[in-house]
Order: sequence, then structure tokens, then C-alpha cells
Amino acid sequence: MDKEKIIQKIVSPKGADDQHELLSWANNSTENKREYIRYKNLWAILQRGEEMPKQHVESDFKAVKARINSSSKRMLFMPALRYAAVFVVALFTGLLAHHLFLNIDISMNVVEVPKGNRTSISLPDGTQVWLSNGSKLTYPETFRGKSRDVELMGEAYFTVTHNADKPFFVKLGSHRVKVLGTEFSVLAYPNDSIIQVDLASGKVQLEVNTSTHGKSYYRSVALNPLQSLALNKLTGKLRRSRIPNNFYTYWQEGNYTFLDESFESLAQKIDRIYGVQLIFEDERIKQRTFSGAFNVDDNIYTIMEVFKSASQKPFSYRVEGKTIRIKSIN
Amino acid sequence: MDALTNELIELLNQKNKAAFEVVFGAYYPRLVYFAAEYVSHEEAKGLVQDAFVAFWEKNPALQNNSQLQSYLYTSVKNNCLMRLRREQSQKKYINEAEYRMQNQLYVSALTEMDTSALTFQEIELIIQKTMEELPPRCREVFVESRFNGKKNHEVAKALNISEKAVEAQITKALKTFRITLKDYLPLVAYLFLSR
Repeated sequence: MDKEKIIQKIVSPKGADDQHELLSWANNSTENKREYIRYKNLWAILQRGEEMPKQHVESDFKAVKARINSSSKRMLFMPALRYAAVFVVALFTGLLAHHLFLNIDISMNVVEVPKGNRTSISLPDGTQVWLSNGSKLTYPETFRGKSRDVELMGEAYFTVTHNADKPFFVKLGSHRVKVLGTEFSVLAYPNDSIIQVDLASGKVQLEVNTSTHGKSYYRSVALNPLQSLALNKLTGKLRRSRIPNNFYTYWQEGNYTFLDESFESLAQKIDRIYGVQLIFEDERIKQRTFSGAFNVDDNIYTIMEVFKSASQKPFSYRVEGKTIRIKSIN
Repeated sequence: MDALTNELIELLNQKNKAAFEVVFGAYYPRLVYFAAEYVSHEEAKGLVQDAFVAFWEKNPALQNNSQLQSYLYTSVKNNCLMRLRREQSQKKYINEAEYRMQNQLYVSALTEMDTSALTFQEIELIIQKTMEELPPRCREVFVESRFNGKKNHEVAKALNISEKAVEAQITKALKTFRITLKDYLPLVAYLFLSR
């Protein structure tokens, strides 16, 4: 198909046959697909919508206004999450979950959230989970057996339904968290050296997998409400502290606040939240620390401008697709 | 282009309702038609409204029109993607090969779409620059026709010239755009000539 014809079909498709022809042409080769996507996207972006009657714009604005006014009574957690763009893959694979479920073949659900997104999930027992930024949660279709077991890679906030007879376990690689009905968050990315558990209310214990003389067992460390516990996976050291100040704003409003945090460490968070990699062109700038806040729904460009204005020493940045190069200016 | 002024953006940052209404008026129609390229028109309206509600509630700090545009298009894009992917995971569509093919294609298209502020800055800049290069009369005709949405005979009447002259000026303008827009041209030409 030549250029003119493709464009013609994108701009004013004539019936299903036309659309079919275009789609199969696009699927024919990666080059066709690329060309099709380029025109399709450009056409979409260049839309002016002048065809829309004024009355429609007005009545739709009224609808939006009504929603804005009514949402002041919104529930906790809802605002940040309801509109978050979320990619959820619910895979009903008959995973054989040896390690978790004692050789019982149970159908497992896997929910994955890509970088820059969050979602909430209701588990079969009524437990609520808010899953965030490139995280993955695996849980069974039904909780059989003596305990409720889920597996987490990444970051999540749990409101666990109380059931003393059936403890709730969150498996984090070789370690796990034991829960008895409570609200807490877990930070456990496989590539991080740290696992962190923040307890809002209730009771949980972190169970650290320890091995001596070839035998492995769990060493339990209990948390009190408003406490934060961090395990260094490499050294096995535990550090106890107060729950971070930004805990509630982060989970409820999506605001990430930071105090004297290094650019390097912030870059890691930005990668998780926005899927954008920051590359530092010199070492010094990595160590620079920042205090401030951003919202996970802000776009990366806004964030970079925030950093630029917050930085005492000027730096410049260059966007190249999914990476941003940062260079200090002297 | 018809960019919103920084003063308006400033008011918007202060959660001014009137400013919000201006933004809605300026961007709602084009966002709906944007989204309708990937989902149905009815769905598009709902998704864009969702984006505006979220926009008001988030009240993101913006510095200029390009950032505003980028923010809105990114939200709508994400809402469309969410809708398409949800449909993908619903079984009832699995046997409809045609629908699936289209859905998948749209998902890749939207995933690849760059809605950063830079994109909008670039498009705005290109159009602005081209406008500056047009001879005064030609620009006048073009603005009336393209940006103020007047029909050729209306432009002719407003500027007190013949309809033929209007057509000639538009052709001239498009020729200039042909050079600056290169890749974009075929689509831009459709947009400009479709009225």
C-alpha cells in the first residue's frame, strides 16, 4: 500500500473491509506496523475536535463539574487510585505452587503493575492490597489450607482481614511477613538490598530466613504500630525506626516527600515510578541531596523542573526517549 | 498556535474554576477526538471526562501550555490504554480475531506514543515558525480559515476578497507548510483541507 492510501484509510475509513485491509497490511511486517502507528498517532494528536457542537462541550462540562463537587466526600485512598492508569494482567495459570502450597495444585492469580502505575486488588478473603510501581503479587484463587499465603515482588500496602485461625503470610523471596489482621506496607524489590515493613496498625512480624548448619528456619521479629523495620538482605542486619513521615501521604495521595535524599537514590525511585532512567554524566551530582515532594501522577518533565529549581548548583538535562542524561553546569 | 497564556496556567495552578472551564473548552473536544481514534466515541468522552476530574483533583503544578497539553494527553492516553487492555483480558473478545488485532495494534500505538511536553512544544514551534514565514495576507486568510474555523466564503466576506483568492492563499500557505512539516504534511494537509 502506498503512503497516500494508508493515510486515506486512517483519515476516513470506508467500512469494515477497508479497516480489515489496513489492519492486515499493518500486521504484515514491522516496518508496515511502524509506519501505520506513526500516521495513526500523528492523526490522533492533530485532531482539533472542532466538529464537536458547543452544546455538547457545555453539557459534558456540567457532568464533570458535578463529579468534582460530589467527590469532596471521597473515601480514603480512592482519589489517587481511582484514576491511576493501571495495567493489570490477571493470569489464571494453573501454576504448581510447590513452595507455597504443599504440592496442592491451585489456580494462581498474578497481578502485575507496570512502572508508574498503581492498582488495588481485593483478595478472596476480603483483604485489600494496593500494589504500586512495577510490582507483582501472586495469590491463589481461594485460600485453602491453614494459612493465607501470597507472594510479593515490589511494593504494596495491605489491609488484611482479621482471621486468627488463618494467619496471613506475605512471602518476600526467602523471607516473609506474618500478619494477624492489620494495616501495613511492604517494600521488597528483588534487586534492592533492603526489605522494609512499615506497620500502621495491628500486629505483624517479619520472619527472616536464617540458616545454621545447613538447616533453615525463620527468625521472627515483631513490629509495634507506627514502627518501621528494615532488613539488609546482604548483612542480615535489622534496623528499627519510626514509621516514615511520608508514609500516609505516599499511600493515600501518591505524594512522595523526601528529606536530604541523594539524587542517586531519588533516581531509583523515579525509575520505578515513571519508568525513566536517569543517567548521571558526572559523579558529584549523584551525591547531591534534595528535599521536597512530588506526586506519582506528575509527569517526568514536571519532576525534572522541580529538581532543577530545587538544586543549589545548576545542572542541565537531556531527554532521550526513556533516559534522561544529567550534567552539572560549571 | 492557540496556546493558553501563562497567566491562565497560573490561575489554573491556583485552582481557579473559571480557568479550568477555559481549559476544558479548549482541550475537551480535541482530546475526545484524539481518544476516539482508539476507542469508541462514547467511551472516549467518558475517559476524557475522567482525565479532567483527575486533573482538577490532582491540581498538578504546571509552567506552560505545553506541559498542560502533555499532562492532559498523557492522562487520556493512559486511560485509553487501560480500557483497551481491560478489553484484551476479557474473554468474550478472544474469538473475534479482527477486533483483537485492532486492539493490539492500538495498544502498541498508544504505548509508543510520545506525549511529553517536548512533543507539543515542537509541534507548536513548527507551526508558529511557519506562520511567521507566511506573507501577511496569506497568514490572515489561514488564521481565519484554520484557527477561527471559518468557511471559505465566510473568510472571503470577512476580508473582502473573492473566494478564489481565499483558496489561492490557502494553497500558498499549505505549500509553505509542506516544506516545514515534511513528515507531518500528508496528515496536516487532510486536516486543513477537510473543512
